[in-house]
Amino acid sequence: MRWILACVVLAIVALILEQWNASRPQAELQSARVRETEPQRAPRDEGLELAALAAREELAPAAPAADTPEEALDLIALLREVAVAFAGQDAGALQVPLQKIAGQPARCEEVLLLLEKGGLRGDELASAGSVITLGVVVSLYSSPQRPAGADGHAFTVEVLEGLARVEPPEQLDLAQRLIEARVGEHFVLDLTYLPKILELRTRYPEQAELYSSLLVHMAENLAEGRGLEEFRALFLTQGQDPTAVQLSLSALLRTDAASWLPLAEELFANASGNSALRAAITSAIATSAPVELASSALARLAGPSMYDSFAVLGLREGGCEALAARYSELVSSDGNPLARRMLVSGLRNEGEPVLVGIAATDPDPSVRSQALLTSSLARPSGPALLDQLETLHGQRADPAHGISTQHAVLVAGNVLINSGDVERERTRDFLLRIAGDSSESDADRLSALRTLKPWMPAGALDNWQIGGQSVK
Amino acid sequence: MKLIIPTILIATFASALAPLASAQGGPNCPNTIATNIPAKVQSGGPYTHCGLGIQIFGFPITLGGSKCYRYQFIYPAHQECQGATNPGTACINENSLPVGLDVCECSLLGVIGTGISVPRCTCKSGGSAGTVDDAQTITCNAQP
Repeated sequence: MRWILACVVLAIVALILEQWNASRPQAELQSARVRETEPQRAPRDEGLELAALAAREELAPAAPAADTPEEALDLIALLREVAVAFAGQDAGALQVPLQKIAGQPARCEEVLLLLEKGGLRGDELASAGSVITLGVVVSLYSSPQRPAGADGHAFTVEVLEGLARVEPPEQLDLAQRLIEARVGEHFVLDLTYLPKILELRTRYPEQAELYSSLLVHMAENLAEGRGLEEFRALFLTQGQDPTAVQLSLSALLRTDAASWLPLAEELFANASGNSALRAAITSAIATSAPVELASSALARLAGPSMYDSFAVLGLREGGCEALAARYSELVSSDGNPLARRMLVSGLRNEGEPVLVGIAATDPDPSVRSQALLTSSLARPSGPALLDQLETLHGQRADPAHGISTQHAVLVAGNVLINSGDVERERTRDFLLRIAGDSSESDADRLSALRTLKPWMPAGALDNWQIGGQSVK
Repeated sequence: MKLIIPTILIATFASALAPLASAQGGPNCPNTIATNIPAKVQSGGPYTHCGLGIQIFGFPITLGGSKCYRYQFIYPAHQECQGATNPGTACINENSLPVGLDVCECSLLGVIGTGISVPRCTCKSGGSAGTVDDAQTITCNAQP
């Protein structure tokens, strides 16, 4: 009986030992080995390294250059160094790990594979470092100073192909690095890559917009026989991809605006309800069509969500004058008030007297308000603007001459943000008058107080109650 | 009893249809509904990269961060009358909402507890660039 019991106990112990051994993670053993070689690493890093190691083991056949765990850890440590040095803006510290990686083309391919296959997932530093490294290597390998054995074009094509498999947010970061990669003044992604990028757009339709974004610099230097035909096709066939439309239309408008503007306006008219596509079209017109044609086209297409397009056009050389000329034409024929309002929104390079003059004379209240908003935006205002503001607000009951309290409060808010003490003091009084005026609507009075609040001493408005609501 | 049940059913059916007929609004109801427009941030103007220049094997490279546009226009979420149809309702412009402008530039921001500074695109409000109309949907029989 004793023997039987002893055998049973032994069998149980043996089973427990077997289970324990089986459940011990292999990674733990590996981790112990790693710890022997790199005792200084923090425990959290080990998990990340092991994840990277596991992913790298999967990649082993494709990345024969670094076969040992130590080398893999070394690469990941170098990528982290890159990220830390970049974050610290330490150019000297950045050069060392970058040179170690960039000097060996096989290691650069390994970086790309790690990023593509998720081998750096969870390791934010190494992921950030890999994106920075790949951007640098694309530039370096395309330059005359590339290390022996490096092929700039082939490596860039590899990165372009791998981009589709890189996960966000690194995917967008890597695309941005590729867009900005340069050798001197020459962008790496030039027209020689156009067929490859168009092919990848077709191969990965769900990533088409991402690949479209890579065309940005080559779209700037087109001519007949140098990519123009491809961009024509892109515009005519990819009408639902805002990025492709913006880039291709920009390129076409730069070469032949008179021919392509009517098509652009037709596409805009057909894109009702697709605000991203409409924004892409107006942005292309604002940045690329000749300023005279652009101002006329934008006036025809004018909508209230186009402040950015009118602002961009107004900042171009001759843009402000073109917008002002269109405004003068429209106001003399009492044309489209919305178009006038948007044209005035782009006149940020005009001086205060011109904009105050528009506020005093335009027949539409929304244009008058816009003139004061444009003049007071992101620059100091003078007494003439405040005089006009108070005059127009005083006539608020007469839409033919005044402006609404709601708009007057917005203008006053701009003055508070951007102007000096004297104008700010006067604006505070103006807003306090509105807040205390029971003939104004509760909403306008509350809006005046809320605009004022950041510019008043703490607690100064705590006792104000309007329509049962406090501004506290 | 045989007459009462059909009478109740007809009355119920008629009373259910009555508001519908009223909501259809007659000849003056445009039968439109407001369309939701999500908020968006649109960048514009010249841009820079918040980064630094380095040399690798003697080759100068500028390592930039993401683009830092000088201006960002912030459009609020709102509703617009874009002609979408809906029986018995009208889309009307009710109010206007401000479109904000942020003015941005590169600056070095310290990361708490690390002793390092990171180049970032930082923005501050330049005020209201303009306004967008905010529409709403009303039932036609509620129109004045």
